[in-house]
Amino acid sequence: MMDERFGSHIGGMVREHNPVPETPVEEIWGGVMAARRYRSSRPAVAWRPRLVPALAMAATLVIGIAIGRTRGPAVKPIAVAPPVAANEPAVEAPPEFRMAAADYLARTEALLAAFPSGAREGRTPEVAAWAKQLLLDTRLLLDSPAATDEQLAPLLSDLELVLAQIAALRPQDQPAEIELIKDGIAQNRVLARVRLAAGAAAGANGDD
Amino acid sequence: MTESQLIERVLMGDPVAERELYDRHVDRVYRLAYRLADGDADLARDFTQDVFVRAFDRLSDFRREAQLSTWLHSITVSVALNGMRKVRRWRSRETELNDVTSRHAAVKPDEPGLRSRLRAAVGKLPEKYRSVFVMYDVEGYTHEEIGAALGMPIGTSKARLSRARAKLRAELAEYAGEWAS
Repeated sequence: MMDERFGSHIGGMVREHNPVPETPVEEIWGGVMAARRYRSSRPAVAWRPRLVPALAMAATLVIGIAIGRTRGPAVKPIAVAPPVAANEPAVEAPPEFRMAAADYLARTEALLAAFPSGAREGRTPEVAAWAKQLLLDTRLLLDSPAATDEQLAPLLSDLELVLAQIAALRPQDQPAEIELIKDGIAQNRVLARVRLAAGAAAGANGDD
Repeated sequence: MTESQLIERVLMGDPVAERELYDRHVDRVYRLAYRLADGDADLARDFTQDVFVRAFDRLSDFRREAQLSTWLHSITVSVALNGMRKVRRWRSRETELNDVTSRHAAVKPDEPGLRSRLRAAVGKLPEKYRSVFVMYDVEGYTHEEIGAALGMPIGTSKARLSRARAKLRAELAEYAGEWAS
């Protein structure tokens, strides 16, 4: 009886001194969905860079760039694009690039969602290799007409930085390095923006 | 909709049912993950995410002899304890490298005496005692639920809880007056 009272008292103190914060329901759900999308689309072994789709993506981009160039004068990346007047339609990338961007964003979302636990669990080499592949795709997209998309261009620039940091991680790096990258992702709301853009891109491609 | 119907719909690939299943259980899974993660909200979020990814992947293996919540809590305990082992290894390496004298990362220097001692005492409990203490005394699970989630007889759950309390009582002896009244 004394034992029961003691346990109940200590349990109450733990609850009082360390209340459980509100469950981040949507954040967790987003992570679950991203991880499942990644799992269902990868070939076999966990954390293996998706070479075949990545190559297909690169091929799509190269073909897309070629098509873009035959259509007319090269389109400059719009890191310095002037603001669009309120009554003008926003600049959008051609459909083939939007499709490639949608695939890229889904894979990037999966990496960013899985990065904290992957790095913490000592899978740094796999995470870095995955980021390296995505970094290559990011740079291809930045050099393509996809970068004319006013929503996508700044996101691609932020992703290039984040992915370069993750790709440079080494197994011996300290948790502080990982925390810095996580802070960068959080401060620029990178994951939230990727999710938003991935959803929009998937919707737009579905509508085409 | 009954639990069984919900599971059937999830197994048929119904995304609305997936979300319904998630909504029904996420709070309790998160609470347990938070307690087993020593009150680290980031870890609790990661563990909870992992629990549901695994649960959806393996739902077809779920034998309906127990409640779905019991099965989910069993996955939660497994994910959280494995995760915490890795985190502790990591933190101890970090502590060594930073040459910090305190060996207990969970204790924050600015916490008042009893609170910090309480955190430290619970954190020091061996894993098998801590999970039973957290589930029974902190989160209000029954011994039946704990036994089912941790895969052990009810008697073992009771014995471990008793050992956990004895260790806590010894650790917190100097504060005995605060709960004796």
